[in-house]
Amino acid sequence: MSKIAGKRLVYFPNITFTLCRGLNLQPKFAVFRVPLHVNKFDVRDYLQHVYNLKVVSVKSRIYQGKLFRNQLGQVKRPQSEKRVIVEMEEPFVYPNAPNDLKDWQEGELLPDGSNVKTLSRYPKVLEQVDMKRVNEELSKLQDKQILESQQKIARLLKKKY
Amino acid sequence: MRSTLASAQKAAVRIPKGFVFPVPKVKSAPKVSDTHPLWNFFRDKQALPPPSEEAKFGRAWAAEELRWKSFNDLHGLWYNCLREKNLLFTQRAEMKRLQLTIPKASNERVLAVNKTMAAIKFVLWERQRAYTSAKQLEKQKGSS
Repeated sequence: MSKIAGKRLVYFPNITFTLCRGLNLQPKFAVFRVPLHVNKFDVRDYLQHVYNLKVVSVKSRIYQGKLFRNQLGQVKRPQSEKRVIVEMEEPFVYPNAPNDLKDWQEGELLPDGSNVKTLSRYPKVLEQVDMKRVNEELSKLQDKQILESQQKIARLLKKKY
Repeated sequence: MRSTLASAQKAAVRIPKGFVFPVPKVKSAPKVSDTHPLWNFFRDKQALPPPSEEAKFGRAWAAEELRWKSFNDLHGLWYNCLREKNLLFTQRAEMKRLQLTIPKASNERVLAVNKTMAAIKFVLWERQRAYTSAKQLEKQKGSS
């Protein structure tokens, strides 16, 4: 039995940890969504005893929900959310989502594979720019313009003669 | 991509021939060991297992079955339920991120896990109650 950092000795913990995708973090860091009452010692003890994960450091932050108006016009604020950034000894990368999501989508599918529900929403993942492709397209465009200019010159020469 | 290409088309006249935009370095992803503890948050190391496979699961443990178990067995089963619950909620978060509808099988799985945990606590409560009542009887016998 290793040492317990917190004061409470809990035999049956009932806290749900959700592993989130930390897009801008280094591989040695992992992000968990955690209930509000959990403190850093609880996080360390939980991960150590439930998952046998060696935790180097823990950082936590509470995200406040944004105000919105419901159908009656009342101003409401959703529940706050606590996220915890855990530093680990070994790196871990969240696995990629599957490319083809047809198996998970319900309802009618349009011919291009998109779902009716998501038509009115923004694109799911912003497309990253491929600079190699941009360079290729640029060279093609320049070649095309050179050809056009040469053709114009040829026409002018023909007209003169 | 489209906006960049459009701006490239407009600027093609001004950009000298042979110019190449800088290509960012591709950083290689670090190798994750197969025995990393965080793989417990995924089933078969997939962010989203196929829903057809996810729909195959058994029922929750009943209190009758758990009464035969020792405390250590119940303790271990509780921790397995905890890991399973975390796994399911991680999948749900990924589905919400991708704006997918959460299937019924996921909800049913969570219910089964919750029922198992409730059954474990019920069985332990029964034992605790029997123990306290036995102690009280012993005290009464001792006093009389």
